[in-house]
Amino acid sequence: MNAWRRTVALVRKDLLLEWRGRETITTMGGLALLVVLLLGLVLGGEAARAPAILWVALLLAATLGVSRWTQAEVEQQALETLLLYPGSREHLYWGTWAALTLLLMTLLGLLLAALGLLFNIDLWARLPLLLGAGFLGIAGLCAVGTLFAALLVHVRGRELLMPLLLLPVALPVLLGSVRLTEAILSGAPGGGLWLGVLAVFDILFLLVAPVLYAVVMEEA
Amino acid sequence: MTPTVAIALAYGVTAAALLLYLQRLRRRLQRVEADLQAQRRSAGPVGTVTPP
Amino acid sequence: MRLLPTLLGGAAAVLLAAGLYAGLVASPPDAFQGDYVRIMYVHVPSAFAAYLAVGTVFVTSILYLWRGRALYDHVAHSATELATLFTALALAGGMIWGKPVWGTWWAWDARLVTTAMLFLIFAAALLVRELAEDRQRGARLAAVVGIIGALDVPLIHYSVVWFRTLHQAPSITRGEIKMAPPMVAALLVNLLAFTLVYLYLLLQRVRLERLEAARSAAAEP
Repeated sequence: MNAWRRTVALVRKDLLLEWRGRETITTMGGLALLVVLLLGLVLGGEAARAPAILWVALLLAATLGVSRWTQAEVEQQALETLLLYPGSREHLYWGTWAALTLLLMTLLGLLLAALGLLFNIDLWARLPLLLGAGFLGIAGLCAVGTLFAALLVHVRGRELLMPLLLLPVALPVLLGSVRLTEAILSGAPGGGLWLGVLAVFDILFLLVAPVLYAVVMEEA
Repeated sequence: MTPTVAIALAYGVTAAALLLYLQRLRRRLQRVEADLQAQRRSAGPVGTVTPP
Repeated sequence: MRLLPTLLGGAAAVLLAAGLYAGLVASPPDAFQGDYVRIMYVHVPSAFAAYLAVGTVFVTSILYLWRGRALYDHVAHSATELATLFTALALAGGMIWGKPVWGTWWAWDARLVTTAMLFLIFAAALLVRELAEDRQRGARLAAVVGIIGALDVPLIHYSVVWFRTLHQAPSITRGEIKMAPPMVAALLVNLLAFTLVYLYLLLQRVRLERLEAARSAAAEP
């Protein structure tokens, strides 16, 4: 099997497991919706607040999802089996990355629908742009998230450490995505700049994280 | 805050933190040096006795 | 008596004394900030030492993952600890300066937020090392976190700068201050002094790390 087909097989495996139980997406969706409701309630439901609320909710839910993914790998010992296969570990990284990205894109879709309803925003016309901008943010978030998920497999208290690691590192993603979403929704200036920030973050960590992933997985 | 208070606070916090860190470092160094010496002492005679 | 640490420690102590004199006595008060500018002579050097530590972590972490020599990990671990120490000091100094000059302890200034994020990331790197299943794995995982954290520094910094400034006119900025030569001198002496303090602490911390490794190696042959 070549690397591409291995990666696709891994994504299929991950998504199939998720599809059977739908545990991760349910808990993530629940938490994200709760954060949206709470922040909307305490901050007030003006449409201008929606982008910030959306991305804080998504980021918090992502830490839950990423560490849940690690937990599942440990419990089912899927990782150990996968590591027995010869060949490079890089497709493992890309498989997990793609699966996580798809999972978070699903969550983004759900959240956008919720936001459109709760904050009375007309999203339909701008949906492709919003999803595109969201993908840029989520791709970078998953680039480091996938690495940290693997990193924390052999660390005690991994669910507790995940937000501590992921949230500060992903700060540029949060800021960039919030401003980019604002730019799309209200035509605020600076969209190009934030596109650049997200692109740099994505490229940097999608190049570096797979290399470090191999280091983390060595003699695991 | 008067300038004197603010300056005293800033310099005091910095100095205290650095000194505390240094002191902790010193103490840990002393302890590990003592441990190593004890290990050497307990291992030393055995090493010299074994060759016939 | 080991020569290098003694010399370094002595030089650091002398320069610190000189820096204290230059900062508190010899330099004039600033035209705008008055005497509060003297806080800068410990705050800026602390931040500088913090960035030195972050740079050290970055370089030695890469070297450790690449070459695998224990010494690189000792330096990386020590520098991570010093990075948390000096970021905490830079934060404290910045806040103490901010309260009288800005009128608030915390001003959502890009440098303060970046420093706080650095503190959290490097504290997390220490936690990862502490909680890893075994020592060697802890060293490697901490190196990975250190590299990611160091690479993230410019991204975090610029994204916070742009996030604040493009949205609203910055209400409070650190004014461009024309510094008088004695003030520049005071700052430079203190920068040099803190660099030496950092190097001295690093050297001692690495020595501790090596001795502790020797102790645990001897305990379980």
